[in-house]
Amino acid sequence: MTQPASSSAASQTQRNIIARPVGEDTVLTLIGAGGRGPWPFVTGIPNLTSDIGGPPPQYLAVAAWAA
Amino acid sequence: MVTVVGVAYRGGIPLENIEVDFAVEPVERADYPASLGFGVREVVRLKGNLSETERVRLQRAVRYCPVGQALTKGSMVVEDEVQWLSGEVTAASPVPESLRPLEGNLPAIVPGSVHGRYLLDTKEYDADGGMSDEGEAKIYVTTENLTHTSRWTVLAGHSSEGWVPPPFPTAQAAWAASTATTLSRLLPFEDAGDAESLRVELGMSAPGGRGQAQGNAAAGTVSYRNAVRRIVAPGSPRTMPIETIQAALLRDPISIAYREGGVVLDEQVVID
Repeated sequence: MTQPASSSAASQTQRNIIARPVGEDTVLTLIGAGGRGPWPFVTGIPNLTSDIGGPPPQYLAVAAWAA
Repeated sequence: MVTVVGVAYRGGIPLENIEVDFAVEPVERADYPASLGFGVREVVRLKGNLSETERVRLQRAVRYCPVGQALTKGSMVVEDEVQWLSGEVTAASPVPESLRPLEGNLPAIVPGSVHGRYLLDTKEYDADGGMSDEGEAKIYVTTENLTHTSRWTVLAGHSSEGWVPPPFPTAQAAWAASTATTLSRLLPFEDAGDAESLRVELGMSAPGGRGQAQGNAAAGTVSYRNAVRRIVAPGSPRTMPIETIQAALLRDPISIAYREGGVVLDEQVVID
């Protein structure tokens, strides 16, 4: 069942990581919206026509794992 | 690395340095046949005059660091919800068991490597000489793009001034980015620009803080963490049905790792 925005329990949790696509092959993600930071990350996907804008998301996850 | 450094410090273990190498490769998932997941081969190098007991304790910490738990041990308890730009919001968890993953092409996962070095001189101490922050790690990422090899560096760790993001939020940023990438590729947008109005928002609980996380890692205890993932989608429930979004989320590689684990293909801990 759909509800008006901000009325569900999950809606009460502060969301401090936000990701959005920029163009076809890149996503911009910000840690710390409203909290500590901000720390921005650019991730990309492999493609035939241009260099990748940033590491693919799986690689960023493994980088975090390494750290 | 910073978890192991913290565990060593708290346990009085004479760890002098640590390095980590991951080889990353694509893995076809039998349980999600339309998806290409990823797997890693991990080598951790510990430097120090370590007893067998200390080695075992640090090896356990390697396996139970918070990010490793999320990717390999199912520690993430995820609650999904969807908000459409038309204003409606609804819970998207749990996913009906009968729902099939959405068809469509996802980006290839290319082979590559991740090399991590601990930056010893970034460790911070309090006025009494005790370690207050574990410091930073510098991570070198190499991938084989379809055009040519690409390289990046990432900094993460624990610093009092917040110079670098901690590892766990960095991993969740990767999950958010992965989700946004997956949805932007699979969802049937009405207009070409609709994908850019997509947004993924994450909220995390932080049970116990860093000391608790390091205690769990040292003990080999899985620490469950709650996460709320909100998908802000273009359109309305009529033009972008909830089932379509849920079916697309079933294909997301990091979400699959969170649900199923299985990303570790090989692991070694070497004492130098």
